[in-house]
Amino acid sequence: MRVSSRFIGRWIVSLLLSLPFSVGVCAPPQTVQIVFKGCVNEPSTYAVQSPVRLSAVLELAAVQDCAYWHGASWLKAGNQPEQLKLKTALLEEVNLLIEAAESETLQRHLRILHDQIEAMPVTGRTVPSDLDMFRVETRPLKNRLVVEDSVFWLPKRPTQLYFLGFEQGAMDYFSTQTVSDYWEKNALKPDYEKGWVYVVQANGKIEKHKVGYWTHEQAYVAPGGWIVAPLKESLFDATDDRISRDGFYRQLTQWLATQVIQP
Amino acid sequence: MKYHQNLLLYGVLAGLVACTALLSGCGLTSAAKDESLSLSAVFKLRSLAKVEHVALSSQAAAQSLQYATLKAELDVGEVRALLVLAKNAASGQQWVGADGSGFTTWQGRITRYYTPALDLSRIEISPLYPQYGFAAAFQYGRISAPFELDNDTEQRFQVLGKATLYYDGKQPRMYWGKPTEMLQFSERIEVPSTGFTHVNYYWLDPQTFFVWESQQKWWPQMPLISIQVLKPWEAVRYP
Repeated sequence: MRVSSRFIGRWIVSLLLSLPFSVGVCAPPQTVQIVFKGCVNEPSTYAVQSPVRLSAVLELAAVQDCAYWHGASWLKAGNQPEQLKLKTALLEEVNLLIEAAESETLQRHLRILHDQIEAMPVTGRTVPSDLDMFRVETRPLKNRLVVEDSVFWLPKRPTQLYFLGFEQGAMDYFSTQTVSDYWEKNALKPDYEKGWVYVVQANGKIEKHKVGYWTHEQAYVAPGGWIVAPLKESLFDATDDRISRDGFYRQLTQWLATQVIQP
Repeated sequence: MKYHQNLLLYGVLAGLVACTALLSGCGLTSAAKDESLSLSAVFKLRSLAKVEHVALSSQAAAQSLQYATLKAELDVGEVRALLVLAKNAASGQQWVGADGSGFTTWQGRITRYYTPALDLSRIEISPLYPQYGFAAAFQYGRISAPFELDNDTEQRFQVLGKATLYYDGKQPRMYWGKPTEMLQFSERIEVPSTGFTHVNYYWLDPQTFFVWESQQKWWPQMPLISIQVLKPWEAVRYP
């Protein structure tokens, strides 16, 4: 088989074109700082050569039995700019809703929501979070590469659930209670819609569930999770379509998913 | 124009080839290389499933297996698999099948069950029960203990249950074609919040009290798993 000089020439040029990529890939390995906090023998910091697999990083931690893996967090500075944008956009939308709200009661509720969101930190949490060692080790897609400084927060299992749009902001967790049971026990504030809720699980997973007597759905929410009742559609109509309800709750639930379980 | 298009195409192709080659070589740190080594080791372990008939043919063949191994059968879809020991820690043994599903055991009892469809991430009985329960039930006839269970799939945590272990007497069991007298224990599981009750079985060597075989189910949606140890993870006499 004869290979033309023009063909060889093209390959040489092509390889030269790819050199800039190669230089980036062949850069010397970096060291990243890994910090473990929470249910570990003592807060510990490790310097690890990157890239390194998540399973290898998690094996470094001297984890105590109290660790609640379902609510564990992997915090990265690289996630923070996007989350800051999300927070800013969300606060702007709440402000627009306050303007659109006609009743003082609703305005007051929305101001409380605004203050709540404002007080929540930009954490850099990777969501949804799955740091369970069994799954990380046996599911290659979950065994991600760690390429930047990271903090792993392993909280104790909380004893409560959190609520938005309800009279009580928190209730004790019971494994026997479904989302519907909590919805029935915690009175809905006026201006919030009945029949369905958003759930933000402790691992950052976002779900939507029907609630009330008319559903047989048996959904549960893990300790440290959120149950969020939606505002009525009429409030969003009053913003002259500047905010859609779906869009607002997508942002709000995504924001709540970034929050970590407090000590 | 066509020449430039071709050049671009060759450029992209060559770039991909170069990047792939570089990623598989100099781009990996020592830690990443260790990981790829362990993955290839796991791949080798998984090929053990092909030698199941050898492992089951004789005790000597089972003993000669390279890794600690269990045979597990599920009552759903007649699934049968060999599971190799992925990790041995003070808290228990982690067994993984070819598809990444598996469970952990401690003192012969399942403490974690994982498949993509159902993840029981914690089945925890008072530590004294798994450690001394068989001996206590053997001596006194029965022993009870509460347990807690986490079901990650349904997002249910700290589900409470009760286990009661009974000594049923000596029973002959067939291992590698040979009848062997074992101690049989039955364990009644109750999870009131789900209305679930079930009876698990364990068969222990009368000399060593090692659990060589069991049938376990801890949640309504969990299949019944029959487990037989082919090669144990610790030095213990075969029955």
